[in-house]
Amino acid sequence: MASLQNRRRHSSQAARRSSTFLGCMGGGGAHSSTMPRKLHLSSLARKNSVVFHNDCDDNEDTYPDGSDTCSSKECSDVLDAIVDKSDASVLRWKVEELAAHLTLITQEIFQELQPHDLKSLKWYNARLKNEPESVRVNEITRRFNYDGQWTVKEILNCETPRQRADLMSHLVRVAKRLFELNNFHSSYAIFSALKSAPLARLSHTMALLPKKDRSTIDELDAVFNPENNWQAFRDYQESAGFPRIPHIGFYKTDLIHAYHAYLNPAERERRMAVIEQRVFDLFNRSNYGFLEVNNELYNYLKSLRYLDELQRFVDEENIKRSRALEPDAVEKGKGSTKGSKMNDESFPKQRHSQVDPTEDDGLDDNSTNLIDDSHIEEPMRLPSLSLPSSTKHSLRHSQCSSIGRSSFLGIDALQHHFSWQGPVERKSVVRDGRFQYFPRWKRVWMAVWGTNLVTFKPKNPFRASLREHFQTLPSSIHPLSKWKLITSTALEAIEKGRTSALLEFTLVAPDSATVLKLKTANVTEYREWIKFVRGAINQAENPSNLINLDS
Amino acid sequence: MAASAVASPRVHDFKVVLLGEGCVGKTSLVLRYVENKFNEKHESTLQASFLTKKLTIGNRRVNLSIWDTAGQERFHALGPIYYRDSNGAILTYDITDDDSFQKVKNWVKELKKMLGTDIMLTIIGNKTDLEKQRNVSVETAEQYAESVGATHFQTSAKLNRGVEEVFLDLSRRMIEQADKQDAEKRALSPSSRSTAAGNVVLLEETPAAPIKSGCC
Repeated sequence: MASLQNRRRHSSQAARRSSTFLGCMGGGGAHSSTMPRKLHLSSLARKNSVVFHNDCDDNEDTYPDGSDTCSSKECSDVLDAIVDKSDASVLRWKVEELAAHLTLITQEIFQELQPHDLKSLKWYNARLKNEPESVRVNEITRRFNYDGQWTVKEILNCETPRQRADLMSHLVRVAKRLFELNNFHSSYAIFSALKSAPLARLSHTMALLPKKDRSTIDELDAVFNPENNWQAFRDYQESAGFPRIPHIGFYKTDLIHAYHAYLNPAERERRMAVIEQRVFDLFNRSNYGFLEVNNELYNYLKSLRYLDELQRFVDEENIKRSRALEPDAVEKGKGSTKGSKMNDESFPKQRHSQVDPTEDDGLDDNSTNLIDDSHIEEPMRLPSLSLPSSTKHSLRHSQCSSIGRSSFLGIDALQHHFSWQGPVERKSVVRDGRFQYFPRWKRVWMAVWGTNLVTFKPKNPFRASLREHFQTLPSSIHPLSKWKLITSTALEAIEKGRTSALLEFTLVAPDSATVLKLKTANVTEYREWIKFVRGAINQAENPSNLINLDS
Repeated sequence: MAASAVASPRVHDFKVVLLGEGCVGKTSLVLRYVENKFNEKHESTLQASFLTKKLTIGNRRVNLSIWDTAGQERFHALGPIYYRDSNGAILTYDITDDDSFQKVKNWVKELKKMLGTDIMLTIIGNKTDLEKQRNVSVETAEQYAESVGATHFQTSAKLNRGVEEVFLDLSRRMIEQADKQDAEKRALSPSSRSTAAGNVVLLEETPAAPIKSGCC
């Protein structure tokens, strides 16, 4: 027990840290004052005009990188029929706010519970589901499911692993905050959703999740542990203070077991009454009145609805969506694991290549990469299939872990504003207007920041793959306004017999004083780079001016 | 049994999850099987007992821990937390209720997806005492079970019909699976290849009368 208490103290400290962390995120807006922030805001506003919540787009607490490219359209195509539309940016609400409101809403539902409701076991019989006793009990489970469904849906609504990881990180912190509020009901709801099939299989997203959040999940996992009939969870819950909203799942099991185990009606009645009383004692009309209410957030969370009857359908859609976002490694590795070693040797740069033609059933839209929903360049499509598909290894694993480890541990809050970053090889063909006679490939860490390209040089040129191997301060920042992006087409590359050229693209400054060649590690990253660089160029000027030599 | 000299008499600890819709009788079924009802030592805490059963098949000792979450079916996302690391699953439906059979199919799908072929599946049509109100035909159920590599049983927890067989069959298949995995492991490590052949000999053909040795 002492260790649990310790963990608890520890976690509340971590929560305070996380709140200052978030505060710094909000303050991060100051950084962006030097940046063309208006463009970003207008894109956010445009997005919000088509979705549910459209009145808060000037909120500075948004993570710009996480929210503005989270396409709600595509996902709503999948899920619209079943679930409410909602703003893609749950991130604009602070962890504390979300936790507080989930708690207030759940508290109201618990207050409705009457003595005898649980004991009646009417909720256990589908045929009696409309009895008032069943309704009141089932409202609790329903809320549990709403919260879980919401967690799953919001994360799957994000397009890229990075965005999903940002939101997942936020929700892990919500679960933790709920836990600290002794709201075990909601905390477990969100936690179990994070562990549910559609989310647990998102290995790329998980790999990008900050280490701190992963250890939070582990901490919660230790308590929310079904071993020994949820003994750890029971102990913790029963020893926690007030106010408290218990998770009632295992008490329901206790009731059913008591019902079946005691054949003497009087004894059965007595036993069941004691179990039910325990639930009431745990809640004890807890009052979370000290939590501040924000009507907008309250109404939003209260409005989460979907029909129980459609749950199965929603599940299928979710898992489909999840598979479309990040196809199964196992399926993908079917024919390719054997050859992986050889491929790794012969194509060291492409060992993360992907796109299995059989995976295409997930989405109808062929222009979307099934792995991370990035836009697939049409000319890239065919050759990408011919690249050695060699590994079931996590696509972004190498640099994911690095991002998780360094940038999220607060080296620089600035980094959270990067829409995309990672290690690339760079060759300066023209620098400061002068042609470089012997340009060499050098490993650098680059990031797309608003409409800028930021470069970090390695601390040690021989070991440069993780973020921490690169300097924390950028060596150069290029505003991408009016730059040209040149990608080699598949045909060119094949003609030259250099498939690795497929992973290269060229950036030319408007006055041609700078020409950079960049080479990515694999096709997926290539696409992400193209997508974000093009997006940045696009954002910096009128889209009609976009020069795309591809098409 | 010549093989017994070679086969290590190790004790198998198996986790078995009970899945199925509410009210299909899975709790009665397992309580019927473990026969301990509410264990004395749980009286003070009033917790659902942690259901365990020891049995011996041939010369193999098996500890089953049977996980029942009756009443928690509606907590939707709890499935994966609950069934992870299980060796076997008992999926129960009510023969009078077709919906509950559909639910079993969903479970099978999910388990296959999440745990692959490592988990042994048993599908049970319970409440054969209500034969007159049957809504799920035996053929349909058996065909389905075969198609997914599961065994199918019909039981009546109320009349204590067919209950023992369910757990016995499942335990045998779990032992078989464990042996298979052991053999694979051994095949991978060449050093111990010599013993591999001996261990594959299965003892399940002996008409094993399970020795029930109480519980917990």
